[in-house]
Amino acid sequence: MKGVSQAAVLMATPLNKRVLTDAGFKGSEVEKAGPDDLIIAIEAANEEALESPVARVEEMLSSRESMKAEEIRPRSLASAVKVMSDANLALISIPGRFAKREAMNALESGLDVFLFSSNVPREDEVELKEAAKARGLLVMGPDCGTSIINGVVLGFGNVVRRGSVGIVSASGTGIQQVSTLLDGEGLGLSHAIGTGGNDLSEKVGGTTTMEGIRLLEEDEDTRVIVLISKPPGPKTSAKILNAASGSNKPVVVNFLGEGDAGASKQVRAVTLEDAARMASGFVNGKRTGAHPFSVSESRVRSLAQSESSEMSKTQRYIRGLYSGGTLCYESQVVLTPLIGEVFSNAPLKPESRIDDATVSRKNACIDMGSEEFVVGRPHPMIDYSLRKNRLLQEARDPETAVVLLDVVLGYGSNEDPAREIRHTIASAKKLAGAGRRYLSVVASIIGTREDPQDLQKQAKELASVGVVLMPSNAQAARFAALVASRGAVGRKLFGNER
Amino acid sequence: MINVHGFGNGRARLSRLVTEQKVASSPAKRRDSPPSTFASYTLTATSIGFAAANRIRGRGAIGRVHSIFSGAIDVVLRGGSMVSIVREEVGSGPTNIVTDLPRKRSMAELGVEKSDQVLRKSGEIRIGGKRAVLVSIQHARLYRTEKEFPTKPRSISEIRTNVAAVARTAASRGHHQGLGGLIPLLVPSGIEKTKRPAALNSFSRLALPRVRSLLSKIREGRISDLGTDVQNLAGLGPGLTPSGDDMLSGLMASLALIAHNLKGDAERVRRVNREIASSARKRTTMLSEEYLSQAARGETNEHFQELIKKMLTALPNEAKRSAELVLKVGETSGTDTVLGILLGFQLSLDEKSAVGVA
Amino acid sequence: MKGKEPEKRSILKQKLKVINLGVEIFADDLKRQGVEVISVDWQPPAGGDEELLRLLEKLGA
Repeated sequence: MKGVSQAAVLMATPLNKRVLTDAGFKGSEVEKAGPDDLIIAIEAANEEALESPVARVEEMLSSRESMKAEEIRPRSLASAVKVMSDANLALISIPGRFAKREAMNALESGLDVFLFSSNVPREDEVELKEAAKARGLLVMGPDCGTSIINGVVLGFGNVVRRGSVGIVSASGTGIQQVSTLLDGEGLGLSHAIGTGGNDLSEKVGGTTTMEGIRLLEEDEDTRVIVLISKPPGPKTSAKILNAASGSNKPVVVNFLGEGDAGASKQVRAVTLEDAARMASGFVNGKRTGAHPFSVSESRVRSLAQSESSEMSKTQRYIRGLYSGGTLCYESQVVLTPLIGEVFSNAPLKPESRIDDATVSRKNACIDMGSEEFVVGRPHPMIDYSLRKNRLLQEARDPETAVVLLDVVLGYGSNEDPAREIRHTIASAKKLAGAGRRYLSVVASIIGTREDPQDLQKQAKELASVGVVLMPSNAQAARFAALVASRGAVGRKLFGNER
Repeated sequence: MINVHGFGNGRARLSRLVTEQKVASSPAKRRDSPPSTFASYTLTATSIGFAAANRIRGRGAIGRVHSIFSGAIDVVLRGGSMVSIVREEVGSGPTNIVTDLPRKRSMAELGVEKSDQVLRKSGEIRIGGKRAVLVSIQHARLYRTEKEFPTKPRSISEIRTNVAAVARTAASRGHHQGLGGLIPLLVPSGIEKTKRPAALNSFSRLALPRVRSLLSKIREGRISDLGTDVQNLAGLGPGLTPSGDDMLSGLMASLALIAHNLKGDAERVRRVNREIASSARKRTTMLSEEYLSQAARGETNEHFQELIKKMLTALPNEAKRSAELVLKVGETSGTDTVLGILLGFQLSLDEKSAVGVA
Repeated sequence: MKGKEPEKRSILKQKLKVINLGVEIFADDLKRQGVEVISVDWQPPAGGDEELLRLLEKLGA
C-alpha cells in the first residue's frame, strides 16, 4: 500500500508484543494491551497514508478468519432443494437404514432418485417404488451401482459413446461390460437405467424395470433395449418376458445363464457378451453368429498352449478373483459347462457354495466385493490390496493353474489398476516359478478409450508382466478353461461352432 | 480415489459416520415451538458440539458475549469456558453451535453487543439486551468428535505416503503468512528436491528453532522440559487464533487421534498434550486457549478431523483432496493447523520416538 | 401416467441437476463431467449411544 512501510495485525499476546516491539512499535498502548486485544500496527509515512490500510483492516476484521462460504454445503435435502430449486435427481449413498427417509423426501420434492445405498429393508424398497410410481418418478436402486442418463455416469461407470442401445439392468457391472463392448464396436448407449439388485425379486416385482422399459420404449433415441439381471423368480420373469414380447422395439433379454431362444423379437442372451452382440446385430440390421473367441481358433490354441506348456502336473485349477459380482457370476456360467462344478461365495447353485471364501479349493470364483471382504475397507474396484494378497496366496498353491481377474475402469474405480497390481503379478509368477510351476494370469479390462484410466496404457502394462488379456470377461473365462484343461475343452468350445 | 466401504451386500458400502444425536425429545416433532419472548432475530441451531452442549446446561444467566465477528459470536460462560455461535461454513466443532444464519447476513449486524447477557431457557439461548437474538436449539444435532475411526487404518508405509502427499499439497497450496513456510523444511515430501523453499517470514524464522526443539523433546519423551518451547510458540503470529496456537492444536489433535487409532501409547500422548496445553495458558487469547485444551483431548473442528481420518485410512488422493479443502477455506489458520497435523504424524510414525506407534 | 403433470418430462429428457447425499466422490465425478451438483453435509439422526442419550435428556430441550 502506498506510504506504508510495515503493517501487522496481531493479537496482543506476550510473544507478539515482543515481536512488535522489536519491529519498532513501542508505547504504552502496546504494553497495556492484553492477549484478547487486537493490535493493528501500521508504520506509515504520514497520517493520510494510514486511512486506507485502517479501513481495509476493519473490513478484514469483521470476517472471522475461519471457514469461508466457497463450498455450498446445506445440511439437509430440504435446504439443498432451496438452494438448487431446479434439481431433478437425488444421488443417495448414505447407510441403508436411513435411506428410505431421505429418498422419500426426495420423491416428495419431485426428484428422481439414484439410490446407491445397500442394506435397505425390502419393505422400504417396496414403499419407495410405490411412491415413485404414483408420482411418475424413478427409483434407481437400492443397491444400484451404475446408471448412465443422457451420457452422464451416475455412480460407477465408463465413458461410452452415445448411441441407440438402451439398457435396463439389475447389475452395475453388467451395464459396464455390455456398454464397453458396444463402445468397442463403435456403437453407443442412449441410456442405461440401473434398477438395483433386488428390483426383480418377487416382493418388489420389477417396478423400476417395468418403468425403465417403458421409458426406453418412448425414448426416440433408443432403438434396441437390453435387459440384464440374474435369473428372477418365475412370477417376475413371466411379467418381464411379457413386457418384452409386447414391446415396440427389439428387446434382448439377458437373464444370466438362462439361454433359450424365444420369439424373434425377444431374444435371449446367455452372457453379457452375447447381449452386446445381439444388440449390435439389431442396430446394424444383421445378426452375427456367436464365436467363443474374437481371434481365430488356431491363434487361441497356440496362446493357450504356450501358457500351459511350463505348468506342472499338479496345476489343475482356475481361481477367479473378482471385483464385480456379476462378472464373477458370468464366469461361473461360462465355466461350469466346460469344466464342471465351480465353487464360489456367490454360487450358481447352493451346493456349490464355498465353505471358506478366504481359501480357494478346486475350481473357484470368488466375489471379492462381497460382505466378508469389504467391511471397513474400500471396495476392490478401488483398492486392490486384498486381491493382491490373494493372488500371492493362489500362486503358492501348487494346484492353481490359472488366476482370472477383472480389471474395471471408469468413474469410481481405481486410478491406475495396472500400476497397483503389476508388481504383484510379477512376484506371483516368480513364486510359482521357484516351485517349478508356471502361473497363468488371464484378465479382461472393462473400459473404453475415453475412460480416465487410459485403457491402452493399462493393457500395455498388464501385458508387459505376462497377463493374457481377453476382450471380454466371458472370453477370459473360456480361455482360462482352455489353458487349465491343456486344450481339452477345445472340443466343446470349437466343435459346436455354428 | 474413493473410500466406499462399510457394511452390507452389493457394491455399495458406507462408513459409519460421526455419531450425531438429535437434541429434540421426539423426532416426530418437526415444528419449532414459538420463541418464548419477542426477539429481533431468531436463529436455528443445526449442530451443537459435545463440549458446548455440556456447557450451556442450566437455566437463567449463563454467561456474556465476549466478541462478535461476521462469522461468529463468542460467549464466555461461568468458569471461564467459551462457546461460539457460528455460521454454517465455520463447521461443527466441540465448542461450536452452528446456526442457519443466511449467507448474506452477518452475525455482527444482528444487534448483539459485547458484554450482552446470555440467558438459557428451555430449548433456546437468548442473547442480548434490547435487541435480543434467540438461538433455538431444539432440533440441533449433537456433534461429537469421532475418536476411533470405523475404517481400518492403512499400513504404516501407506500412511507415510499420505503424509508426503499432504505435505506437498500444503507446501504448494498453503497460505504462508503464518508458519506455513516451515512445512517444506520440517516435513520431507520430495518437494524440496524440486522447489527451493520461499524465504521465511519473521514469525517462521523465530519459530523454527523452537519447533525443532519441541519436536526433539517430544521424541525423547522429555515431557517436563516442553514448557519453555511451548511458551515461545503459543501466542506467536498473525491471526485471531495465532499461528503458533494453530500449529500446536494440529499437533496435539493428530497425536491423540493417531495414538487412539494405531494403538500407540495413548497415556503418554495424554501427558504430552496436557503439558503443552497448560504451558500455553496466559500466553494467548481466551478462544485459542479453549481450542488448545480441546485439541489436547483430540477434539477438533470437523474439517481437521476429516483430514486426519483420511490420512490414516484413505488413499493418497482422498487425503490430498481433504487437505486442499482445509487449506482453501482455512487459509493461514488452516495451513498452520496442517503443519501441526503433519508434525504429529511424523512424531507418531517414527519408531524411535517416545510417541511412536510402531 | 398416473399422477404426472402434463408438463413433466422424464428424467431421460432433462439436463441433470443433482443433489448428492453421502459419499463425496460421486459429486466429484459429476463435477468432472460438467454436471451441476450440490452436496448435502448429511449426518445421521439419533442412534442409540447411551451416554449421549442421557446428555440429551439433561439438556432438557
